[in-house]
Amino acid sequence: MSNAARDRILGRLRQSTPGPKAPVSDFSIMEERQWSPEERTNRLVEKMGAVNTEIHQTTADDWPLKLAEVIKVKQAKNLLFAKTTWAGERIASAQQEFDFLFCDDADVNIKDLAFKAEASLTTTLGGVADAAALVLWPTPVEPRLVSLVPPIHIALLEEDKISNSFAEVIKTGDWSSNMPTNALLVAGPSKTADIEQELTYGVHGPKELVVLLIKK
Amino acid sequence: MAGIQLLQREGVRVIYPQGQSCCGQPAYNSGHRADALKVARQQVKLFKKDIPIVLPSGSCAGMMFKHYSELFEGDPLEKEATEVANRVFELTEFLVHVLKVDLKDKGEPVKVTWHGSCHSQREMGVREEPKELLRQLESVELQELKREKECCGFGGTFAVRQPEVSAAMVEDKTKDISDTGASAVVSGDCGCLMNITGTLEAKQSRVKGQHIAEFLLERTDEA
Amino acid sequence: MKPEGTFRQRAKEALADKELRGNFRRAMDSLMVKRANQFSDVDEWTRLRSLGEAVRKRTLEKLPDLLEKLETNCKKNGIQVHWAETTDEANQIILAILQRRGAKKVVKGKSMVSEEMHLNAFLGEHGITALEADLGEYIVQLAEQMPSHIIMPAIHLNRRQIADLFKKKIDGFEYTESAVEMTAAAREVLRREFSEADAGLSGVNMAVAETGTIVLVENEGNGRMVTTVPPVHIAVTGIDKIVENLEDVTPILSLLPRSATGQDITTYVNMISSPRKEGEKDGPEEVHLVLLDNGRTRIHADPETRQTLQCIRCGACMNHCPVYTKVGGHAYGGVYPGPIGKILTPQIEGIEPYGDLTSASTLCNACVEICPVKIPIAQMLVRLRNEAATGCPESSVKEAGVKKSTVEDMVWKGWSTSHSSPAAYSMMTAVLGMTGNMMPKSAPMLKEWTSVRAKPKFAKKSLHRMVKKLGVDDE
Repeated sequence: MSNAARDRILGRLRQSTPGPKAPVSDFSIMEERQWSPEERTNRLVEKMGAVNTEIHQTTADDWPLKLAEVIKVKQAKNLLFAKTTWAGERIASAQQEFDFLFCDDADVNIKDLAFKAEASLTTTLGGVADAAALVLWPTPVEPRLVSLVPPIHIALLEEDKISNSFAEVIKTGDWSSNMPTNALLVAGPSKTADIEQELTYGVHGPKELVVLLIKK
Repeated sequence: MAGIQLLQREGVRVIYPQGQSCCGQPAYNSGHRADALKVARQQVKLFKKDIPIVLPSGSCAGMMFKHYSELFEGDPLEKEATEVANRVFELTEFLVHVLKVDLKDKGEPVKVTWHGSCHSQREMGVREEPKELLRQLESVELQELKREKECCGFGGTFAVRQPEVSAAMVEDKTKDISDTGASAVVSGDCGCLMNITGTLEAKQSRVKGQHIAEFLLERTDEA
Repeated sequence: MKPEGTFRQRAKEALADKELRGNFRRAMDSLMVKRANQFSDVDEWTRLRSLGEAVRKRTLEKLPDLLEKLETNCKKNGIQVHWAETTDEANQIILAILQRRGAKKVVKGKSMVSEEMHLNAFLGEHGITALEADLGEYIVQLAEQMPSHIIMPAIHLNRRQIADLFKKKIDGFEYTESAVEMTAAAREVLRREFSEADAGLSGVNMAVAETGTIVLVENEGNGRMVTTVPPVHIAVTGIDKIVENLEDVTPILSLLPRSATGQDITTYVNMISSPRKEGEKDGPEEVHLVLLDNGRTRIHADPETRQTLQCIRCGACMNHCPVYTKVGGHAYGGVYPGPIGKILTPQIEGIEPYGDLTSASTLCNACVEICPVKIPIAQMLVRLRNEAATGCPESSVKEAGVKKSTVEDMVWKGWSTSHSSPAAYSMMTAVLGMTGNMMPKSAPMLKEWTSVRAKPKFAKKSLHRMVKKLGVDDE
């Protein structure tokens, strides 16, 4: 059934009457807006903050302390993270007041673990300033469910990895020849306005998104 | 009539070809292209002189300006139709941009609101011109509608094909008009006016509807 | 599918429901303001929208090649591609996948194409439960209704109606009208479902030919859940939702959420390029992409109707439509309501059942003004009215000419004759001037007109005669 259907669909499309030539795609507008590093940070902080993302500006030395503080305030009993990333190594090596759930243990059942976790921590590839979002590429070490299922998602964002736009990210990262299983832009915590347009956070994904912004 | 008198007062020599009837829009919009073309050809033949064509109705102006080139595609009169389309002006557009009128108000203080027709707004791009003219009048206070851009629900044959929806639309529109507290609603399109004033009248509202040409002439007439 | 009654009848019913009218008026007013705030920079809007239009037009120009490219690249990535000419074929394809996996329960992300297929009912007949996970769709499913808006499916219901529904349908739900608490209740139910489901089903916002990527945009996270948690992911899309490359994604990613709900970007942009790879710990083992025609090749055949397929499904045309605002989505009787529905539904389902939708417009052009990919909806409505009324045999529009009416033809013939002959026209206006005001309110057309309006007044003297009297030159 499938192949015949395919051939008929394509055959019909090839017989369509040609129309006027499509106008030229002028992409200049997509990359026209360039900001200084400081402006990029400010824009991202302002816009992601406006959709309820909690953003803490911290440093490469201090972020583990900030993390511990955040988890304490939110009273999460455990944290799901990968112990083998540059970030994970820093946390796992110290005594903490919460339990560790490692998503990169061999033979781990990630689904069970993710639904059990009260908070999670992931690294990010960076951020984009124009529409204001984080860029995430989940990996075998940091699987997809880690940033999705636990009610609190804490993301590490290095300030020097904030680009002007998604268009710029695609180009500089050569995404076209390099797409991972799953790539994500995340602008805030999960939200809905399906009941009388009242904005409500935390419907299916994380109820809270916390960004630890690491200044250089 | 008032439109012609306004133009004449500004020193314009007006020609009114007696053979004219309709731009063809009603049939065109209903999907009866052949009938629309038959009527439109008759008009194109009448307006051959290379002078501006001024229409006191955004809807008719929009039909000629925007749709004639497509309606006449492949027709022997195609070239003439395009020329006609390019010479079309909506009345207030002509008063503001070509004649650059400077109106002196002679009337009593009054509060009015403005309804812009969909076609003058979106096909002719005429949005601010009529309001600019009203603002030139010293004793006229213009209170804009909350939903100025929303259609009044006339839409030609729409009003009789979908009378219930049309009624609901004009109900929202007349409520918006009443809420401004204006004593008159001024507009540049006879279709909208017929719809709006018909409804206001049926509601026994004290708000009156008036065409902008008539309103301007009345308030500034030297007589 | 044949809708019940005519648009006019359904609209009448909707208009009688004051609560419904209030719900729509409130929601649409606020959505229009949010969108306007997004595009206050006219230059940016003009250029971005031209780019959006160019991208969509180029896609449609190259559509067969891009579909082949998409198939090749998806296969290379391990995504299985299926082709369906009809909704029935698409349903069968999905059923076969689910049966092979022994699946009993499917969780769904938002998909208008699956509504087009009536997939839930079809799977139900085969003993498979399909559960909607988008909150709005979940509410609509509980209410056993159809979505009334393509972006906000439950916009026709207010909080009290939803609270009543939850009380009736969700075990242990304590009655509350708080949106936060109702959302929390749905979260709890659906979390369980995500984790237990045998398969996930989603729509597609864009499929990228160059990389074999499925792009999904959403705010809730249900789209990520259904494409990540269950062992099988099936994505369904019309063959029109393709873009050539990743760069083409960027303008649409900007135009879509800003036009739809006035937000800079959706919470999640989810790009899926393969099933779970060796060494990965989660993600579905199988990913399927079902490409559905269902009349789209016919719409594509003609350059004018082809523009319908430029649509990116933002729903802004609904939000700005003065007719939609009054009657809501259900009055349109089909899957796609509002202005885009008025041109899309008759072309997919045919002029016979849905041709009357084309009369549900004043051609006010509000939709044309805000469409982020410049679909000339009003022009298309006129074209479809023409197809319905006259219809030539070689027309590519489904059931062209079926609404041909001899009476109407005669009326317009009479009109064009009287309006193209100066003598006949002057006679007619003179007669109307004398007798027009004597017409009773019950005369055809006047009856509809005077339902809420006073009778129009015919001038005693025609404008032509008055102008002549004034001494205005004839030429």
